Amino acid sequence: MNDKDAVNDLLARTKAIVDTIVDGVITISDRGLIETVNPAAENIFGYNKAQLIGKNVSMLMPSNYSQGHDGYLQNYLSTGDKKIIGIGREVTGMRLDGTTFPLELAISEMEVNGQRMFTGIVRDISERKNTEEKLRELLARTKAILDTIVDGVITISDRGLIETVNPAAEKIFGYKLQELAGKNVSMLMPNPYRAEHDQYLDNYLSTGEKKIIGIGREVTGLRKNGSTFPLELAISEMEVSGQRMFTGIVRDISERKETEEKLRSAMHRVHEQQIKDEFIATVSHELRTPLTSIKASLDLIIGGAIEANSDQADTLIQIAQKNSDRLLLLINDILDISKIESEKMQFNRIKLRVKPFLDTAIFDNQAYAKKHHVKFILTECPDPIYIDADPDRMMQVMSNLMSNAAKFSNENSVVEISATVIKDKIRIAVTDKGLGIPLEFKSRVFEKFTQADTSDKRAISGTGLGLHISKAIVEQHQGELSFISELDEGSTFYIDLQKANPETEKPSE
Amino acid sequence: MSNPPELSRLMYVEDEPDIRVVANIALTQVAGFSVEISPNGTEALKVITSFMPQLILLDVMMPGMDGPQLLKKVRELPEFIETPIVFITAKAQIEEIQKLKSMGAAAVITKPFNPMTLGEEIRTIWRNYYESKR
Repeated sequence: MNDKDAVNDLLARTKAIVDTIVDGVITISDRGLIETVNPAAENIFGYNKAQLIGKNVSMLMPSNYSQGHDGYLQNYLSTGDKKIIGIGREVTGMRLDGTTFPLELAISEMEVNGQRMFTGIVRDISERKNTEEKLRELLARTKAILDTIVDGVITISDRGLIETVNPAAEKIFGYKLQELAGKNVSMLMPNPYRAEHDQYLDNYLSTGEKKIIGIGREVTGLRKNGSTFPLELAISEMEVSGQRMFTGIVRDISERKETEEKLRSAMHRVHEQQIKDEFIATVSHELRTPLTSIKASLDLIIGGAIEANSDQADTLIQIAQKNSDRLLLLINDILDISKIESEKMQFNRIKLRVKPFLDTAIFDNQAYAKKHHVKFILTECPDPIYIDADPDRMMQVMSNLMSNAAKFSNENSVVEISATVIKDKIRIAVTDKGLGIPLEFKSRVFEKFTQADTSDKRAISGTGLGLHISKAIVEQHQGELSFISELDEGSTFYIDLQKANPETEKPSE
Repeated sequence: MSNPPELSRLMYVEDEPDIRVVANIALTQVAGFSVEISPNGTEALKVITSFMPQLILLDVMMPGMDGPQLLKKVRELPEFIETPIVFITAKAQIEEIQKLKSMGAAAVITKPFNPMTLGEEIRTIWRNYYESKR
């Protein structure tokens, strides 16, 4: 290939490049007249080559730009003051149809055959501009949303440093963005959350174990003024420019919490009232039941329905007497319940020596043993050991447990009473070999007016209040009343009380 | 207009043994009814179809099957769909009485009842029940 061929080849290649590149290429003379245009430039401006060659390049600009253009060129040629040469800049182009569009223009200067010329590379950036505009709009929208939502939005870096906060977050915590930016987000939490927070973050970043991320949870916030408040926090994770970040959405739920609390307490009051109403209804029922037998027995005798001094009259008198006793027990128990519930039950506690106390309990409750044909036996009791207790109230508990044991025992069986020392406690146990407590009834044993559903008439001779009262009395002694029971084998009730110090024994008689 | 049939056979279900004794005297010796008294719902259901009571008296609070549950069971028996059922209850609150009536009871008698007039009270309920059915 000779030199001429080589030049022609280079020219052909250059032309091919210029003809096919997407950017418009326009060369102009130092007088601003168009010398060459490539197809892309024709396409961008909507002209054909013939319409452009030899024309002033200012025809490709809207009038407000074109007027300045010749001035620029003259100014540059005379003073060398570059306004656009060598500098890519955004200008406005005008198409043949008069429409304008944003274009990016880069101008370079060259000398061809001793003549100064300029090459302009133009790129239609309408689409990019459009995208930028949309992006700007989107950003503005997002900002408007963030600025106006009632939830606080806080972004933090993976080191836990606050990057942005929205106005709601500023309001919730009482800080301005400037006071928060770059600070550790844990400043918005009181201890112990503050101390835990960095640990959470480190833990999550190293193990991936999520404690709060992606999970809305209730936490406590700390305002600038030092006050704390309940807040609902939802944290999400995101990646911005390859960097892990976290967004926290916070909502002050003080008001909601307060409303919930009010509702809870109102419901509690309603529930308390319901319990009270139910109790009164049950008391009324329980009192009316023995009263029905008493009144009807007496009405039948007085009304002359049966012969006086007859066996039937005797039966009715016995019914009246038995039910009067029951009524009296019931009234006493109801009074006790009332005292317990109003916390007015008095306890005169003394150092009580357990052995003589249990001996007395067995002696005093012999009537129950006789009635139900059982034997009360003290099987074990170290002596001397002491409890700090009200003897009368503790005797009431023993009578209740022993009468229950007798009532539910098989005839001719033994009810065992014992006391043992377990560490610093004394355990008094009452064990019967009787019916046992049905499984479904076990959870209700200590409730008021409860008796196991059974056809055994012994079950209904009590008030249904005894164990409830006994438990309350033992608990007033800082003790515990519990039981174990096997159906058809029997039950053991335990009174666990603190062992008292014998040195300070006071006379119990 | 025909008079209601004479009331003679009553069933009474009551778990309190002493109340069973006094009610039995009141209903048989004083009022002259033929009475079947059962201690609970299960026993009552065993004998109800052979005894065929014309009116049934039910206690409300009973262990196992209570009065309202027994009422439902009795109503499931074709022979007793229309039989008047009366609750005798120590639950004397107005709301309680209204609730029991809404279950389909012909009447509610509260405890303590008067044994000398109980029979007459039941006969009145029997007549009113028939009046209302007409």
